Amino acid sequence: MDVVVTVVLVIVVALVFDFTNGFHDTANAMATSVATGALRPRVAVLISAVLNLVGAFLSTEVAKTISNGIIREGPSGVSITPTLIFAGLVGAVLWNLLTWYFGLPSSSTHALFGGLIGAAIIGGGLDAVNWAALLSSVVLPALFSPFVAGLIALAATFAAYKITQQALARGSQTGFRRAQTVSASLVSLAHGTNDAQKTMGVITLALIAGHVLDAKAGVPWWVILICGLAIALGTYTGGWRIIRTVGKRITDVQPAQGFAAETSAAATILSSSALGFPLSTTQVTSGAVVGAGLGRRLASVHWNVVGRIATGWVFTLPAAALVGGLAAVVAGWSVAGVIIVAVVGAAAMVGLFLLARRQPVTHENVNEVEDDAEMDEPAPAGRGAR
Amino acid sequence: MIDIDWGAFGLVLVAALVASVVIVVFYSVALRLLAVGGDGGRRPAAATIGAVVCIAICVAAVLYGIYLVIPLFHGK
Repeated sequence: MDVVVTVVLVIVVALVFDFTNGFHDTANAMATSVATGALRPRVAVLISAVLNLVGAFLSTEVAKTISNGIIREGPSGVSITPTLIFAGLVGAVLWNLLTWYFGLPSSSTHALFGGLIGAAIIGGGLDAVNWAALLSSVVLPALFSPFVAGLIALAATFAAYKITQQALARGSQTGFRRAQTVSASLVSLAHGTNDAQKTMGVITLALIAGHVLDAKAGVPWWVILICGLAIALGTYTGGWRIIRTVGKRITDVQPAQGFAAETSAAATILSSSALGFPLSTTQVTSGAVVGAGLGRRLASVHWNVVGRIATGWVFTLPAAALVGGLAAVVAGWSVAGVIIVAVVGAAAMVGLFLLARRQPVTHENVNEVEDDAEMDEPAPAGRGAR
Repeated sequence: MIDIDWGAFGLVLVAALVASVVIVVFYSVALRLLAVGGDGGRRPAAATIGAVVCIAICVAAVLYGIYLVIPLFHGK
């Protein structure tokens, strides 16, 4: 009975995580298209949602281990119980919602790893984590990927403006807007094939750990279906706060920049996963948007916004680990503890949603950036290159 | 201790850079060519053909991207 309660809770929290994953990452693909008016906001999130759902069904390679070797699973390390998975997911969900509240794009994958690492340390001590693997497969790529994508987007943006005479050539704004939707759609599809399967892996592992499924079982079809639906629903709901940050606050994205940024992001993501060196979609797109900002004459990049995003990235892993660890301590007591964590976590989620409603960002006002003093250094006098 | 695969990393950088710049440059050239002739003027056939070729290259790149995204196509 206890196991059943825990497994059911894991599935519920995993789906909530999947939802926040979609919700958080809509911005990666669609923020620039929304900002330039290439797509109407509702249409943009709809396209992205559909492509995420399609992507979920296309992916065949579901994570076999929960953390790609970062947590030492099995006899030499920590045994991954449904309770630990549950605690890790709670940490990831809460961090995702907090960063959403502040409108910060941050990696859902890092949040998930962070939460699980925290829970694993509580379950098996510091040795439960393979720190070298953490460094080489999460921390270092995270440091480099924004620079790589930024550099590429800078070169691409510069070329696009150079060739089209600062996008003044007749029809070039419309042309860039059209192309932008294509590259953004490719980013969405790639996202669906990657991210939905993480949750599928987590749920399947919980089912195996709870002895509901045989250890060698594949992913049940209903898990694929609900994971695809959860990430699509999250994407459709749209993390408008983050979309506003990426599309308007880092730099005011213009069509040529949006096209260059999304093309660079798509190329970087696709080549990295094809060549076996996967990079975070969030970090790649954020870096690409900064690069696109630097590549246009007279464009201003708001470095204080970039700084805040970078700070968020630094804290993602440790903060999610802290929450995941705390949740693991309480959930470790008994089933009552698990339920306490679930209730407290749900209360925190509702609290953040209520806080967010005091200053709502929706599809209607996503492109309106108020000039509040905390975000801007003054814009350059003549934004001539429009 | 830190075994980051610099070779793979460099390859990703180069592949992504080349792919992005190629697509963006060809698409921009296409837009520029389509603008030749200006309002009212007639566009030379060479410009139109050039633009179509450029766009075709971009379409091919996108199709290759879709091929890479969908595992069924390359048996991974």
